[in-house]
Parts: sequence; structure tokens; C-alpha cells
Amino acid sequence: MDFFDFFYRWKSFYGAQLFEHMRGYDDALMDYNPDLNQFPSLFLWTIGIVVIVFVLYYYIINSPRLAKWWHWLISLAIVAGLTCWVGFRTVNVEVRNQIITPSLQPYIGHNSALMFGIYNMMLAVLFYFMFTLLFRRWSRNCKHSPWVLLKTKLNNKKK
Amino acid sequence: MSKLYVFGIGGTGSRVLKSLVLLLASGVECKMDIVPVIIDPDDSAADMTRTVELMKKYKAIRDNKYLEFADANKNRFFKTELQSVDGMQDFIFSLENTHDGKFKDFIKMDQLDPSSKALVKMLFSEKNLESDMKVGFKGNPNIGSVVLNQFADSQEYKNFANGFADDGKDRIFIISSIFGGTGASGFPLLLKTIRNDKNSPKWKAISECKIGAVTVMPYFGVTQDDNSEVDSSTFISKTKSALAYYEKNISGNNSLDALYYIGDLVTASYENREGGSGQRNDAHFIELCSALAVLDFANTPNEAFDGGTKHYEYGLKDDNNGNELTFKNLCEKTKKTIMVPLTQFVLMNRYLNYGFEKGGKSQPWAIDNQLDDNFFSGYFFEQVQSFHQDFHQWLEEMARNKRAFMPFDADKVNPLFEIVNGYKPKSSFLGKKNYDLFDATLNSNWKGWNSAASREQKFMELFYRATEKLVNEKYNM
Repeated sequence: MDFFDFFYRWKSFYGAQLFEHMRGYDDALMDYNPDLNQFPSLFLWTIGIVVIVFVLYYYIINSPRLAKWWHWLISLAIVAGLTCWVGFRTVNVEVRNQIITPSLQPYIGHNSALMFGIYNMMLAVLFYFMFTLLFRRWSRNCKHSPWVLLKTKLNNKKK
Repeated sequence: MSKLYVFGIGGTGSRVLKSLVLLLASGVECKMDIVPVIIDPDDSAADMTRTVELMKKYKAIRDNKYLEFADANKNRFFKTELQSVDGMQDFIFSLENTHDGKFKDFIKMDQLDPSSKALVKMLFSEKNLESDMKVGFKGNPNIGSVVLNQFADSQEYKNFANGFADDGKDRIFIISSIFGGTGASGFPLLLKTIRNDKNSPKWKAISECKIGAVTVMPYFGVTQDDNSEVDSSTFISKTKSALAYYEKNISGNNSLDALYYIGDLVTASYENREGGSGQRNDAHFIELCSALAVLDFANTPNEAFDGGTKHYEYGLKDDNNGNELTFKNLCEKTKKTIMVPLTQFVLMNRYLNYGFEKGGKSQPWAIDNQLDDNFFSGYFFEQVQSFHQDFHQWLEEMARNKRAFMPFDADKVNPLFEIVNGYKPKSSFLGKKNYDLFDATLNSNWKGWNSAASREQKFMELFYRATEKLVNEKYNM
């Protein structure tokens, strides 16, 4: 399994056939066509959105007036919305245009697209959460959003 | 550090001391510790009460358990120490036998022989003799000169003398008006006592120390009231007489090292109040200038006063035809002294009044320095806020007085940096603005930050550094 496929391995959530399609299964080859594997680009889009929103919130906008927990929640909602839409749209366009290999076509529909969008959103939320845990401490104004840094809490307790 | 004993006599004395305390709070440089002493027989005068309350707040904030001024600390807000004379309550030099009764009772007129009585009647009018002493001398220096003769006998004066340093570094400064009662009579008497009281424990040190004074000439009048003993039409004639007296008995005999004169042709008109809690005049630009005289005296080396009394006057760079003044109308020396500190303090004032409520407590500057609910509901912060309310009121009063001094737009909340009248702030198109910029500056990673300092120290240090940076970035001062 490729590195990028790894992040989409919980296929029971959105359908094993969709996983096969996204990984690039081609009836003509009876195997996976690496050129048709959509996971790398989708993952990079997803991570890109996470990174952009994260950097915007913590390091570019970096506003003292937007440092409350609900401001962080709004940024998270933006990430969730965008990544859900990217995931849904990627699959939905192919469903609509019927460019799915014939053996997998009966199993992949709009519902699968929606579930895939939700899966992609959860993945992005997980990454955004991890980024928040690891990389917010250098933000001048928002480092304590959505909650006070553990290091600060411990320091304050010591004093 | 050497001490400057500042005697504020009468209502004007109290008001000038108030301006001085506010300037010191803003970080205007003073190379000596200040020991304020208020001399006013009218112990219910609102001006005096307000000044005393302000000085108490200053002292509470400046307490060593909260703030320290080691070299590593940059903070200059509240840097100058306010001390009090041992045993003196609330900085007030209490005058005995002035609280009840009439002037004639004070001089024990009933016990005088007929010839003395006749002399007294020649020197004092019937109104003078019937005058109620608890509200001061109501513009009558002839009463004051009798009552205030008790200086040297008082315990407060002895305590003051005991605390005076022998090394010749401590100094004395006297603030008085020349056109009223208490100040006009108290100043020469106090000076005479200081220079000539050989019974004083530190007489040599006191009699040889550098003494300065500011004598405030008429800068306000009072409305005409036939029932009041205060009549502003006598202010000029009283000033002339007093100046003639000073020429001979004060500067003429070199008993003073520096004499600062101040006054204004543009005069405000106040409601006619003889004294008491009704005597509550708005702060005035002249009082601020008089406070600058105190600072000028404190910051000038001893040698500069050698060779007889030095006389100083205050002038504006531009009179603005008697209209309101801003920093632009002041001379370079004054601007250099007060403009940056006052602007810094005003920015802090605005933030505490308007910016803080928008989430100050949840900012990294507060969280990282343990400035939590406990701190913001505590005694220190309460005193700081209360002090800033007084500061704001002082600016408002000067702005509405005549002549008005309005270096800041007292009502402007937003845009924050447009509050300095006559100074356009530098703007950036994409950068942070207003209170956002203020918070972002407070959140800076400060070099040389003492994380082991007290929370109060950190709070003040943060605001000093942030406002200093903001003033540098925003204004060309």
C-alpha cells in the first residue's frame, strides 16, 4: 500500500469499491494503474487546505481579536467544509461523467461521494487538530487558542 | 536617592501637586524622590482631598512589594518615589487651632489690652476678625500671615527637619499662588522659618539647602458674589503688592535659589466658593506648567543655582491667540519632557478603559504572565484603574478649562492612534490597527524579560514597553 493510500484505508466507511477506484483500478489491466491513483493529489489538496487555513489563522491573520476558542472552531469549520467539498466533488464528478471502470460502477454513486467527502473532512479535522497541538506555540497572538498551551499551564502551576 | 520636599500651599498648591503626581505617574523624569507636604487650613477643600486621594493611590501602586526599578527594568511609569514625612498623615501638614472658631478667637482678641486691640482693628477689618477659619483665609493674606506663624512649633515641622539629610543633597520646593490668601501668606513665612529657625535639629543642612519656589500669578477669576470674601478684582493688586514684597524679602536677600513665575492673561472664571468641599476647580494648564517647574528644579544640578536667586518664566512657542493649546504650541524643552510619557500613559489609559474589555484577559500577555482573574480583581489593578480614571478626568478638565490644553482628543476611542491632536499616526495598509495592534504589541517576545518578577511588575513593564514601542512606531515625536 502506498503512503497516500494509507490515509484512506478505513474503506468500510465509504465503500471498498470506491477505495479501489480511487486507487486506480482498471478493468482493462485487471490491476491498479498508478497513473489513475487519485489519493496522492486528493491528500495533497486536503493537507494543503489544512496548512493554508492553519497558517492563515495562526501566523498571517494572527489577530488578538480572533484568539477565542470559537474563532478556532470557525477556522476548523472552514477546513471541514472545504475538504468535505473537495472529497465529495472529486468522486461526484466521476460518478456523473461515468468514468469509473465498469466492474466498479454499480457500487459507486452519489452516496459514496458524500461519505467520501465526510471521510476526507474527518481526515482533515484530525490533521488540523494535530497541527494545532504541535505548531501553534510560535503564534504571537493565537497560541492559546483554542486552549492554553500545556507548557504555559505547567509553568504557571510551578510559580 | 536624595529627596525634594515639595510644599504645596493652599488650593493652588494642591492642584499643582496633583499635576506633578500625574506627570510622575506617566514616567516624566525626576532625579529626586518627592516628599509632598500640603499646607492648607481648609481641610475639607475638595482640591486638597482629590490630591491626597491621588497621592495615596500613587503610593499604593508604587509600593516596593509591587514595583521595583532595577536597571534591567525598562518601566518608568510610577518610577519616582513619593515619600511622606514621618508621622504626617495623608501628606497634610496639620495646622492647629484653625478648624473651629473665628480669627478673633485665634488671636485671643478678648485677652488683649485696649491699645493692642486698637492696633488689631487697624490691621484687620471687622469681616477679617469675624472670619470662620475652617475654610482657609479666603483670599486674605493678612490673616494667613498670623495663623501660619505656627510652622516652626509644630511636630510635623520637627519631623520634617529630622528627616532632612545632612549631605546637602536634599532640597525644598514651595508651590504657592500669589493672589490668594493661604499661598501668598504661607510662602514667605515658610521660607523664613526654613532659613532662620535655629532651633531646628538640622538647621544648618536646611538653611543651606537649595530652595526653589513657583509663585503662581492670576490665571483664573471667580464670579462676583457680594456675600463672598473672595473677590477676583483684588487679585492683580494683591499680586503687585506681593511681588514688591518678594523683590525685597525673598529674592532680594537671596533666601531663595530659584524662583519660577507663571501666570496667564487668558483667565478662566470659576464659581465663587470661599472654601470647603465646594472649592473644586478644574485642572488647568498653568498648574501643569507649575509642576514642570518642580521637575526642572529637581533635575538641575546644585551648581546651576550658585550665585544668587535665579528667576525663571514660562513661555509658549505659539500662543494660538489665546485659544486651546496642543503639544504643537509648546516649546521643544516642554515637548521633550512630557510629550512621549503622557502619550504612552494615555495609550495605556485608553487600552484599560476600552481595549481591555474586548478580551484582554485571554491574551497571551495576560496568560503567560499569570495575570488571571485573581490579579484583575485584586487591589493593585483596582488602584491602577482608579488612578487612570483620575488621569482621564485631569485631561478632560484641562481640555474644557480656559485656556484649554487639549493635547489629546479626550473622547476619541477609535481610531485609537488618532488621539494625539496635531500628530497624524503612521498608518499601514495591511498591518494591525487600533486595539488589535496594541494587544499584538503587548504579546511581543520581549528581550531581557524577567519572568521571575512579580505579576504587578510584569503588568507595568508590559504596558510601558508596549506603549513605548507603539509611540515610536506610530508618531514622529
